[in-house]
Amino acid sequence: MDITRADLRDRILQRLENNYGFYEEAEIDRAINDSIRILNAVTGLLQSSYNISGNSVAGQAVYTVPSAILVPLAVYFDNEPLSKTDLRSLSLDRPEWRMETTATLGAQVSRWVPLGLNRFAIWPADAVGGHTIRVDGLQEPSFTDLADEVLPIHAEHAEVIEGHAFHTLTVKEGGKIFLDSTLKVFRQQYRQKIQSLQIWADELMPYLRVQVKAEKA
Amino acid sequence: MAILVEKVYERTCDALLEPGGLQLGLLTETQFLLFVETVVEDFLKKTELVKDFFTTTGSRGVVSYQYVSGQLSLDEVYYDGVYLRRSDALSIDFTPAGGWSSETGFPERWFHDRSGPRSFGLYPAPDEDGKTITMFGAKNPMVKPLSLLSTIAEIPESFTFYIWAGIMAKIRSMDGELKDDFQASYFMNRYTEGVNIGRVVMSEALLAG
Repeated sequence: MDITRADLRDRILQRLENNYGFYEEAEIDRAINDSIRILNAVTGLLQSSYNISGNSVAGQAVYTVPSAILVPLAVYFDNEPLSKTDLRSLSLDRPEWRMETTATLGAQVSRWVPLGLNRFAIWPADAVGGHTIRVDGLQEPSFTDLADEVLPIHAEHAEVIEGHAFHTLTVKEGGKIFLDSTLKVFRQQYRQKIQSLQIWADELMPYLRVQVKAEKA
Repeated sequence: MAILVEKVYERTCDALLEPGGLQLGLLTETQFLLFVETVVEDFLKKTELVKDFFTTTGSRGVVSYQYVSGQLSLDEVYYDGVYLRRSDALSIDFTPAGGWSSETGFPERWFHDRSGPRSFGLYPAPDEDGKTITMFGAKNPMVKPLSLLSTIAEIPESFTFYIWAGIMAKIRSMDGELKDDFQASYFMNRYTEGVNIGRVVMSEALLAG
């Protein structure tokens, strides 16, 4: 079932007791977008493929990852998958790799090297140019913020997004309302759910200790 | 793939109940921009989210070289296009030749120790001028001084919430009316979460699969 932005806005506003005056639509949209971005970074929810604009350039080894990709995961040269290697391994194996091309080696482009989130290298560099280079990876979500926008989430994620967006919006309220939403929504529901969905082995979410002062009788 | 300072400012103003801009004087625009600079720099140092190649020029007989502007760290070094192995000064001390700091030739290794902060050494020192030394390491793409209209390039928008959380942690720790120990602790916790996410996605974006 598709989840539209209007659906989610309504659900979040209901949890905020329909306080239209206090919460602008743009704030709710921002909270929805943040929540989807975080869910995506933690769970690898959205993945897609983009070609490098302008294709390969003769003699060029290092390329920029398409801006719609958050984390590059695989690279294809003329639709052939390249083997992933890290910079140190390639450098130890081929100390002059930065100067090597398909022409100097008489070999096909066979490896790619991630160089952080924004760049990658291919080896050997294509001596001719004009070949397609496709990058598959975790997608950087983009939004239109229109009411009928179908959000890029599955139905089972709607509750997590709704809960996190609601919780972050209550920062504005401060005091007991934000404390309650931190304890009940963020710590008890969101944190546990997102940990069960995350694709990374590392512990990402540090435990939030909350000291609640006892009220005077 | 960029963070717009104006967007971070807007959400900060909303959270502080000053929609449309800071006007109450509890937090100034200058303080806000300083927090942005501090938090972004800290985030980039901890996550090394942005990596790039940097270049400098070798000089005959010169052992030590400085990082270039915008460079935060150093992972790998190439001299005239050739990869140099990382070493340390102590093991170079024990090379058969000895007296290494006066040797010149085509560099074979680089080292970080004994070269001071933000610098590194080559062994042996180059025997000619003008060859390119290429460094690979973390980068700070932020152009200072920041203004509300600045764009911080190369940091994915997915991390905007966490950069904002780091800024809110600082704001809520300030002495004065904005101080809120609970929110300061909450936002610091979320900022740490963002650093952790940055680190794991970077490990995926650097290591072989």
